[in-house]
Amino acid sequence: MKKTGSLLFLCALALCCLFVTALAPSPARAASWYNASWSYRAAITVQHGQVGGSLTDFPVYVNLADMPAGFWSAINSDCGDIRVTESDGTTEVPREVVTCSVAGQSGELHFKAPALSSSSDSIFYIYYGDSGASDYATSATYGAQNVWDSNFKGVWHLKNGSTLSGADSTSNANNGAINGSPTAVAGQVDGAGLFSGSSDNLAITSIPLSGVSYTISAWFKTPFTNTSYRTLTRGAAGDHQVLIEAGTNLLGDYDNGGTNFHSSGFNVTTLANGWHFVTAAVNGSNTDFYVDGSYVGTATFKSSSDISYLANYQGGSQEWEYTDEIRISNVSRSAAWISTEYNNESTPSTFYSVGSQESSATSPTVTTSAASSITQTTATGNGNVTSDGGATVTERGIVWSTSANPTTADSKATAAGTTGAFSANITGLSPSTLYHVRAYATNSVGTSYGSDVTFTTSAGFAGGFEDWSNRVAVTVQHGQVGGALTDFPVYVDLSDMPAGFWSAVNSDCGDIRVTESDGTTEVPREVAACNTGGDTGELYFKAPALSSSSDSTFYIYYGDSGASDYATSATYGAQNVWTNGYKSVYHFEQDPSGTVLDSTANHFDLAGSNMDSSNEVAGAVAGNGYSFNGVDEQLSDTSEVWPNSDDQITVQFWNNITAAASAETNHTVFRWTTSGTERASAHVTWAGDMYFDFGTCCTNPRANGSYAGYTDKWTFVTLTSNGSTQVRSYLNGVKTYYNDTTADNPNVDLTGFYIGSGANTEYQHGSLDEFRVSTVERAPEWVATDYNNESSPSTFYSVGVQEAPSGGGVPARILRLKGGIRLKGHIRLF
Amino acid sequence: MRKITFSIIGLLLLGALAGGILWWKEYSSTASNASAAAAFGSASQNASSSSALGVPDGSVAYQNAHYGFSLAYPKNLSVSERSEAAGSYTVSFEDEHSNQGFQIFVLPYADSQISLSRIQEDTHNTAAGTPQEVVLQNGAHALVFESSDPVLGPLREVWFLHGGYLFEATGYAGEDEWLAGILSTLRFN
Repeated sequence: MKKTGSLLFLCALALCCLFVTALAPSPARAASWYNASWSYRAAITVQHGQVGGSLTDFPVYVNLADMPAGFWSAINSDCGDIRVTESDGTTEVPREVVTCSVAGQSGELHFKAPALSSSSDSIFYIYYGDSGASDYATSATYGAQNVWDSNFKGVWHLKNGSTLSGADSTSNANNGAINGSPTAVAGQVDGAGLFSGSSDNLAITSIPLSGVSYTISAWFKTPFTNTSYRTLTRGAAGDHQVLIEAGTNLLGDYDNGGTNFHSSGFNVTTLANGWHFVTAAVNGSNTDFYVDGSYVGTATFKSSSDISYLANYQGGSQEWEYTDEIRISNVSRSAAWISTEYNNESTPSTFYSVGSQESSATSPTVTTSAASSITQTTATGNGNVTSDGGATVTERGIVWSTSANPTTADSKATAAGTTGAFSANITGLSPSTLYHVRAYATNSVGTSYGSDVTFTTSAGFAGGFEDWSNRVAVTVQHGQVGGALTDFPVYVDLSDMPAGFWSAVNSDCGDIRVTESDGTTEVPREVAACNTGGDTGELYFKAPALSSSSDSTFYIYYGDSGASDYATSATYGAQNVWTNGYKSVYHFEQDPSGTVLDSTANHFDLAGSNMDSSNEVAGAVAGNGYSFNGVDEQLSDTSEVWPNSDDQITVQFWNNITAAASAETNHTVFRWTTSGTERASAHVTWAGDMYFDFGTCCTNPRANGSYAGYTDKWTFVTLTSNGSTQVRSYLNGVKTYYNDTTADNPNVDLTGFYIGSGANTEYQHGSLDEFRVSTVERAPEWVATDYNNESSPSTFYSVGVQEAPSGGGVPARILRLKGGIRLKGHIRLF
Repeated sequence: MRKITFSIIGLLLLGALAGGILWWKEYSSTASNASAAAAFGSASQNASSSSALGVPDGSVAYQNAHYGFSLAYPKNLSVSERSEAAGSYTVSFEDEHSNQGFQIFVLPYADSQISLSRIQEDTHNTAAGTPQEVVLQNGAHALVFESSDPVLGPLREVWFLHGGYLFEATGYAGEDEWLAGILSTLRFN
């Protein structure tokens, strides 16, 4: 039983908490927005403990210096855009902007609170930040006059402390005429007046008091300088409704021509120095007096004459001195009203709390569109910021994850711009993986996301090529191969590649990889040239084996934006294409005014003499070649040393000699040379014939003969020596001239290598391409294969279609549906 | 003699009854397939193909770059993907709290026509009636027919070929319009 009672008590307690929570006003609870043209608002919450009772149409004073950060940079210069609403955020109430100083960040605002409660806080909203809004006319529905209901007969704020004003804020327009020379001073509620001259006063249109109750309130400051009577209000020829008696300093009123002074019994000298709030409220035929919101005594007199002067007796010398916020009503205000006025005006920041600045903006509106351009590792995320929410979008982009509803804490890519459709590159993905994508946008309010969209990346190739999007098979035709060859450098004209290659490969073709027929065993390759704009390029790879009896297939992989070219010295880099006896290999793809690169690891790079980019011949055999003018153009490496004895040698090049010059000029294609007659050189042609010497000049052994029929076209020339007995020359892969009987070699080291001249003489007049030197004697079948490969690469090999990763085989279907509620109650075994 | 006559008549009636049942079963399945076919597409040979994926309100886009298709599915469905043997793949879309769901099984398929043996193999010989050929909104020619599963019950099958793959879309029988609405958003890349 006791347990049941405890439970009931806890339940009741919980219900009470819920009830209290439900009743408690909360500025955090988003109220509707008054008008989208207003950018900001701040909640003003009147503390119920500061309110004396239930009050209606109470004029709340707001010290604008209490407004939150941002207010003064957003408000119009006259604060005329201030609007005030009830707690719903939309029901407007009248307000009066008495003063406003953006520079001083100060001002005086009053608004009419339809209701204030002493049991619960009362929330209002002050809107601001609409540059297009202006102040209301004072007589407008929500203008200044309507802050003060019809009970108010006059309200004099005495303004800003700089210029004294006797303006009445009520609809009675009972503006006071300034008599004497009162001054504007700082007051309790913004500005005040100092009526210290004997004739200083405000003369107003007479307010009759006969037969009515009234309430008079104002702020005054102690100590007084004046020790005579001090009159706050007086009729034209009648009573003083609020005055301090001379000598006694007692607060009371004065029945002029009758019973004279009536004291409340309160001595103002008992007050601490400073501003104090006095209120006189009629109570029947008497008048109750309040100081600083508290009742201090009753004067047994109620004036029935009128009020015509403020802050002094019109006859003078009863100056009230420091005076602020004079209000006169024709009703008798309650003690609750009076104490609430005092609380409000004495310490406004305690009377209310001010919320932080709220913005009319909302977070942006974003939609996510389907991803596009999906590869194994990349995709394009698409989104659209359909609304910035009223605040500038500071960032937008795409977020992604393998989990649902990714956020900016996950992977993201930003996109330029603020609103409208946008795209961003999604990178670093894994093949065959489901990804979740959302578009997002951020403004000052927050970050919004579009819906969660999924996509699956493409599957990858096997064997380390998962990130490559495509590959193509290159099959070397066995009929094009002279015999069984190993480590043969196959040339691939990249213009032979299939559709799709140039849109998938990287701009420098650096992502090209080459494998053997298994698709995984990589081989070295060199990208000698790549022009993705012109769809041309020059690729070499080392074929571990080529067969003349069966085709040899290789795969060229491409399409990995994350891949870069190999270093030339890397295992599968350029240099390792040329390891099978190659001494130097020149593709002639560089501007010869600079260094002409040797692709081998020997770095026998050449320097051009009198040559520049104008010597580059486009559309040569393999990419570019060089032209030579027959006068002074050559390439050289004067430090290169050629061993002098028993060396095998193969020199290969493509030659396009100018026919007209051929019969007359001694064209030297290359020469290693030293002093004397020791040399290795070739004249293609020497007055129409060709000569190849390897040893002492001009004697046997040499391979020489007519070159007729080979001029003005590209001819593949190969010259070999076995270092002992054989010197041979091949034209277009066919052995043409040879000497197989006499041995000779240079007898000294040959220092200095020249292409295009015989060492500063006998200059070449024509063009050269793809110059290779080997320290082995290439066999006839090698030479023939070289020729076939380079003369007609598209015949030498066939190129397959572009392949993308895919699975294989035919599986059996398995139903993966779980069955939903169909299976409720059933036992599933998986 | 009379006894023999009755027996023969009885056997004939029994045979007629059995034949009638078998005919009715075949006819009803075929009629069901024909009725479903109308929901899934047109018999027209001129249906247009579009690669643009429109995502209706309340739907979410699903894309599969590897198998080259996309569709929009109701967002109350959960997506589950599974790589199957030998390069095949299943994606299922299912709301475990309702009757809604379907799956698409994709397998490499070299033939230009869907073979009966394939249908029998993957439906465990439960395919019923004569498959109806329709043209889906994406232009693909599809076969629409019924099958069944001991646990899941009657199923609706919509099979079609594209890009070297056979796509087997399977949903619950009786939800033809719902499934057809989703498949109408299916596009090939």
